[in-house]
Amino acid sequence: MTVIRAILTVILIFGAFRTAEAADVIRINGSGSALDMMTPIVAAYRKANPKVEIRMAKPLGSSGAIKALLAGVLDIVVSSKPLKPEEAHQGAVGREYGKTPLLFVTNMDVKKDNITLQELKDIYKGNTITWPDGKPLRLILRPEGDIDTQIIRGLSSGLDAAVSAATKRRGMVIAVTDPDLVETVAKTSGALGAASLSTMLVTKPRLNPLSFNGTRASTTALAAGSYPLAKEIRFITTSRTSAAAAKFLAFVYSAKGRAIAEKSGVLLDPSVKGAK
Amino acid sequence: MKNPRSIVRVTSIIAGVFAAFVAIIIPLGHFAVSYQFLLGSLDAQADLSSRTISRIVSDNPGMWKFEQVRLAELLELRPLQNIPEQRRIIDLSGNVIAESVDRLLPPIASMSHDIYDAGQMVGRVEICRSLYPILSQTVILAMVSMALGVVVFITVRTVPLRAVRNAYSSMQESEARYRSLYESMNEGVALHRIEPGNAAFTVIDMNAAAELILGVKRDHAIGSDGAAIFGEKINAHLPDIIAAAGRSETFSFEYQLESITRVLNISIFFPGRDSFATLIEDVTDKKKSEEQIRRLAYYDVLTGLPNRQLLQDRLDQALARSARENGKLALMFIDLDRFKFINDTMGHAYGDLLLVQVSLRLRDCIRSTDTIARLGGDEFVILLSYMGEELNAAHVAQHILEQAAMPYDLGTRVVTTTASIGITIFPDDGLNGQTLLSSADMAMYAAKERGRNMYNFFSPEMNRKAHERMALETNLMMALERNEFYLEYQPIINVKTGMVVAVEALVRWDHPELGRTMPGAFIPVAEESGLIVALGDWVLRTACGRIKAWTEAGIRPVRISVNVSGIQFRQTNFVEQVAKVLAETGVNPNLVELELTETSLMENADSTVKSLFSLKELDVGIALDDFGTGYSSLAYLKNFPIDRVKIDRSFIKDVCETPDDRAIVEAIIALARSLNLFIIAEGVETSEQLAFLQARDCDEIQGFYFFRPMPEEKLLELLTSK
Repeated sequence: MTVIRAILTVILIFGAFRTAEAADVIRINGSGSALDMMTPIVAAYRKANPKVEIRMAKPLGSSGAIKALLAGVLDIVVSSKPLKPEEAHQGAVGREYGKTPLLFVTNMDVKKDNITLQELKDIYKGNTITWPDGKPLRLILRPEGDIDTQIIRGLSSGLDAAVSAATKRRGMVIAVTDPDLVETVAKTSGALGAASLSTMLVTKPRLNPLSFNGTRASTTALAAGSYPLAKEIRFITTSRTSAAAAKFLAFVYSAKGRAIAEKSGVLLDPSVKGAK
Repeated sequence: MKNPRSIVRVTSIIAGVFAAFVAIIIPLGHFAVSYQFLLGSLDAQADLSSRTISRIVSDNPGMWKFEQVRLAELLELRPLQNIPEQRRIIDLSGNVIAESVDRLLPPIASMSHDIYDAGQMVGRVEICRSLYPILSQTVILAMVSMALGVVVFITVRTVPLRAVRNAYSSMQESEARYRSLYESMNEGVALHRIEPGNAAFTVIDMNAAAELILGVKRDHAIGSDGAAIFGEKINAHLPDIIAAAGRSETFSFEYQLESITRVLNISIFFPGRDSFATLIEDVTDKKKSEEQIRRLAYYDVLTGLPNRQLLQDRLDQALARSARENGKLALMFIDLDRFKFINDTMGHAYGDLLLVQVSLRLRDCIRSTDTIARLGGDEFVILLSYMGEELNAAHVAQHILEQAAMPYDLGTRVVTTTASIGITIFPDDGLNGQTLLSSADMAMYAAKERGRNMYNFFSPEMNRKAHERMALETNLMMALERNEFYLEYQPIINVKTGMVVAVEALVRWDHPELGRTMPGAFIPVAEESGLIVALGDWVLRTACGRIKAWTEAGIRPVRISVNVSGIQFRQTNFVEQVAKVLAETGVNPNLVELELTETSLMENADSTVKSLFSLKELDVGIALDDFGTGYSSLAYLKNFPIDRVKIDRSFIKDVCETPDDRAIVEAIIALARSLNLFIIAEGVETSEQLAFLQARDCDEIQGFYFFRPMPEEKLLELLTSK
C-alpha cells in the first residue's frame, strides 16, 4: 500500500507541474465574497499577463475549496475561514490578507436603511415578520456551518439564540453560497440577508444596504472598530502551488493588488500593508 | 348437554385462534406496514435527493465533490427533522463526499439511489434510519396485543360457553320442570316408538300415573311391546295411529282395557318422528257418572224406565223414521185406575212398589224394540214402532189390560188395579209427537169415562174396528169351547164318471148373534190371533171323525179334503198332530187329503219338502190349493210329493171369456199333466166352464154348477142316493 501511495503522489506532483507550466492556468476558488474581491484583481493581472488563464468557477466555499486544493484540483483558495489543523496538517498554508465588512441587505422594495441589534433579534426569533410598512419580511438564512452565520451569531448571545431559533423555524429559505444569497435577496420581495461589502462594491447588485445600529458598513468604520461585522480574507496554498500561482499571489499582495482590494471594500491586514 | 367436552374444546380452539390472530397479526401487521412505509419513505427521499444532487453534479461536473456546503445543506434538508437519519453522498470509490449523520440505534434500514452525470453513474446517495422505533412500537404493540389476545380468548371462550351453559342449565331446568309436571300429572302419559314395518310399537317411557292406570311397573313396561301392555286390541288402532302420524293429527279413542275392567280415553299425539305419545285418562268413573247423569236426565229414578225427555227424543226419531219409510207407529197413553186411592190409603211406599211392578209387567208386554216411558205419577207411555197393522195395537193394549189387572203382591199386601189406555196412530191421528201424545191422553181419558180398564183409540172409526175385532177374537176363542163351529161339505165330481169322488170340508161358525158366519169373516182373525192352529186341528179332527163314522155306517167312502192354514202347517209339531188325529180317529189315511196353498208351501221350501214327505209317510193325500195365485218354483213343485193341483176359482170364473185365463188354465193343466198330477178345477159354475175343462181332460170338478157346500145330512143323502 505504501508503495502504491508513493507512486500516486509522484504522479500527482508531476501532473500539477506539467499543468502550470504548460498552460499557465491558475485555478482559484473559495468563499464567494472573497472571490468577488478577486474579480478586479484578476482582471488587472490578466491585463498585464494576458497569457495566463485564471479560472474561477462557481464558489465552492472555503471548506470545499481547501479540500479541492488539497486534492490538487485548485491552485489558490481564497478563504473566509481560518485553516483547520487537519487542513494544515495535510499541507495547506494560509496567509492573512484582510477583511471586508458584512452588511445586512434587503430587496430594493424595502424602505429601510438601518437595522438595530434588537430588530435583528426580533426578526430572527420570528417576533417580527413584517416590515414597518406592513410588507412581509422574508429572512434569508445561510447554512449553519457558513462563516456568515457564525459572524452574525457572534454579535450577541441573544442574537445567537435568535439565529438558532430561526434555523429551527419551518419554511425558512437558505442560501447556500454568497452569490445564491445576493440573487435570492435581489429577486425576493421583502427579503433580508447579509452580504459582504466587497460583493456589493464589485458586483453592484440591486440590493438595499442597511446600516447596523446606525453605522454604515465601510472599511473605515471597520478599522475604527465602530462596525462589528466583518469577513476575513486569507489565501491558502500548498507547497505544490505552481509558480504561476505564486506569481499571481505576489501581484495580489503587491501595492497595486492591495489598492485594488481596498477599493473593493477590503480592510487589509496590517501584516499585508507593509509587503512589497 | 350433548358432548359438552367437545363444545368446550372447539370453543377453546376457536378462542385460541382469535386470540393468536389478535396477538400476532396486529404487531406483525404494524411492523410490516411501518417497515414498508419506512422503506418507501427512504426510497422516495433518496430518489429525490439523488435527482437534486445529479443536477448539482451536472452544473459542476468537475468540482461537484467539493461543493460540500451545498451538498451538506442539501443533506440537511429533511422533511422530518425530529427523526434521526444518516444521509451520505458516496462517490464511486466509496468515499463519503458529504454527510448528515445522526446517531442511529441498530438495526438500521437503508435505501440508496444512484447519482448520474451525463448518463454515467458518479456516486450514490444513501439514507439510513433506525428500525429501533418501529421495533419498540412493535414490541409495545405486541404486549398490548397479547393482553388484548388474552381478553379476546377469555371473551370468545367464556361468552359462548357461558351462553351454552346457561342454555344447558335452562334446558335442564325446563326438562326438570316438565319432568316434574310429567310425573305429577293425573293423566297417564306414555311414549312409544313405531317399529319398522308399522306392525307394532314399543313402549319407551311412561309416567307414574300411566303405571297406576295400566297396572304395570315402568321398568317392566319400557321396552315392551305395546300390545303386551295395552292388550292385543290396541293393534286394531295402530293403522289409524300410523295414518294420523303422517298428518301429525291428534286424535283420541275410547279403549276398554282387557286386563282390568277400566275404560280409558286415549289421546294420540306425535312429539317426534316415528314415535307417538298416548295421553291416558281413566274415564271409568267419569263414564259411570255420565251414565248416572244420563240416567237421571233420561230415566225415571223409581222404575228405571225412560222419562218424558227420552220418550220425546225416541218419539221424534221414530216419527222421522216412519215418515221416511212410510211406516206407522202407535202411541199408548196408560194410566192406572184408582191409583190415587191406593196411594192415599196405603201410603206412597206401597204406591211406589205398585208402580215398579206395573212397569215390569208393561215392559214384558212389549218388544225390545218398542219404548215404554213413565211420564210421572201413574202415567206410562208406550211407543210401538213399525206397526204393520194398526189393529195389532189393540192386541198389545188388550194384553196390557190383562196383565195390569192381575193382582200385585206388594209384600205384606196384595192389591189389584186396572189400567186405561189411550191409543193414537201416526200418521192418521197426528204428525208430531206432541199432537200424538195429547191425543193419546185424550183417548185415555175417554177410556176412563167409558168405565176404565179398557183401551180407546183416538180415531172413532179405528176405535170401532178395534173393538169389533177384539170382540170377534174373544168370541172366536169362546166359539171352540161352545162348539159353535161346524162343517159343511162341498162335493167334488169326477169329470169322466160324474161321480162324487171327494168332498171338501168347509168350516162354518154359528155365531150367537150373527148366525151362520163364513170363514172369510173370521179365518184372518183366527190366523192373526193364533186361534187358527186350534181351529184347524178341530176341523181335521172333526172331518176325520165323520169319515170314519160314515165308513162305519156303510156309506160309500169318499175322499175328504181339509184346508190347512200356512200358520198351522208351519207349526213344528204339525205332522205329529196329523198323525195323532189319524190315530185317534182311526180313519183310513187314504181318504184324507190336506189342502195347502202354494204360498204357504213356498215360504220355507226346504222344510216344506221335509214336512210333505213326512205327511206322505202317513198315507194322506196332498193337494195344492189356489194354484196359480201365488209364487211357485217349478223346481220345488217337481220335488214336492203332491197328488193334486187345484186350479183357483179366479181363473175358472172367466175361462170362457178371457183368453188370458184360458191360456193360464191350459198351461196349468199341461204342467200338471207333465208332472203326473191330478187336476181339480174349483169354482165351476157354468156348463161352458165344465165343457172347457172336460175338453182339456180336467180330472175333477168342484163348484156350484154341481153342488154348493152342504150340511152333513144332505151330503149323506147325496152319497147314499143312486
